[in-house]
Amino acid sequence: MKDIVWGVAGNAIALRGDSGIMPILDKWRAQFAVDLDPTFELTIHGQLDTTTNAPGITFENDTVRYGSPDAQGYANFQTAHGELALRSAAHWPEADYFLRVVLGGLALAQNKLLFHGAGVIDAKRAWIFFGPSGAGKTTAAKASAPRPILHDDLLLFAPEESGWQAHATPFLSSGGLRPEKPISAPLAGLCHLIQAKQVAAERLSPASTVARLLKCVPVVTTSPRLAGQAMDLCYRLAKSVPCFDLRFLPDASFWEVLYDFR
Amino acid sequence: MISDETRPRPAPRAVWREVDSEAIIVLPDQGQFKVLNAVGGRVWQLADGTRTVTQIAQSICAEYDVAADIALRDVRAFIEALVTKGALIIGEK
Repeated sequence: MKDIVWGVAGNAIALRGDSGIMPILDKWRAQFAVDLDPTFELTIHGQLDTTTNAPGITFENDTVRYGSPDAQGYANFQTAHGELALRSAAHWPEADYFLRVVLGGLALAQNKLLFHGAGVIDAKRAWIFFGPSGAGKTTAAKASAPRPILHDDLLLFAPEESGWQAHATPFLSSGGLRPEKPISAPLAGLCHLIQAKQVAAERLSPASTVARLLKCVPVVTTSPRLAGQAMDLCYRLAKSVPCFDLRFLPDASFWEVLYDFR
Repeated sequence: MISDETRPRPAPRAVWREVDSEAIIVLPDQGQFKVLNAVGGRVWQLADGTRTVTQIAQSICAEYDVAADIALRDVRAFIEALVTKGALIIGEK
């Protein structure tokens, strides 16, 4: 079967595999297909050997390894090649997870950041809502209707000449809020969510911003090299995009506060 | 309890950046990170393996408005906490 090539913000990841899994991935990635030469190639197959990798994500030099009872994989960022073995096509969400890791590694190598957060476009600019699991990312995104939603869980930030750009990603999201096409918008602000009984926004210092952002950059804390790169990028981001502690209610009232900062 | 004559230094796999006057430390082996305020960031700067706990406390005493005995007590407790968390280590290089 023909390779699927999809991408976000200039990346082009080629997926190849057997006929069991590829139609599923094709349907899932179709909206993010790109006509670019691949920057990374991932082969997906069904020859699973669960004794290969330790459970979870581990980094070693230019290689990241992933192990779980239903999937084993590696990605080498130097050779731009990787493999993922799945127990069966029914475990294709494991491929979604592994591709997040791959895209996160590729992004950092290009001075871009994969980021856990919800993105909402208001007046053609992207506002990012982030925080730990359960903080209210999907709630904030849903409450922002009818504003366009970039994604309610995973975004990619890329520095461009005009400033930082927030890109949608094609990954699964628990809230089901993800775009039907690859959209992006200039970053307007970063809102660290705190559930409260009264709406308020407090501007954060760059150091406080970096601390909050780092918690939402996937897997970097497992690798000293990636952690350093991520800290430097978060600091660049913190210096150019305002960040707030946003105390909010589960409705659209927080937008009134954000309008003061537009 | 650590000796005041030990010379703490960052754990080999700790990664840190100074941002403004604060310090952010990532501990890959634990999958955690810590944010230190200005005084904590200064202690982190000084804990580079060349200074004893006593010398670090003396520097803090000289730079901030704090009594020597309180500086030593607080610096010792802070360093002990960072050693416990795996951010700092003590002992021979």
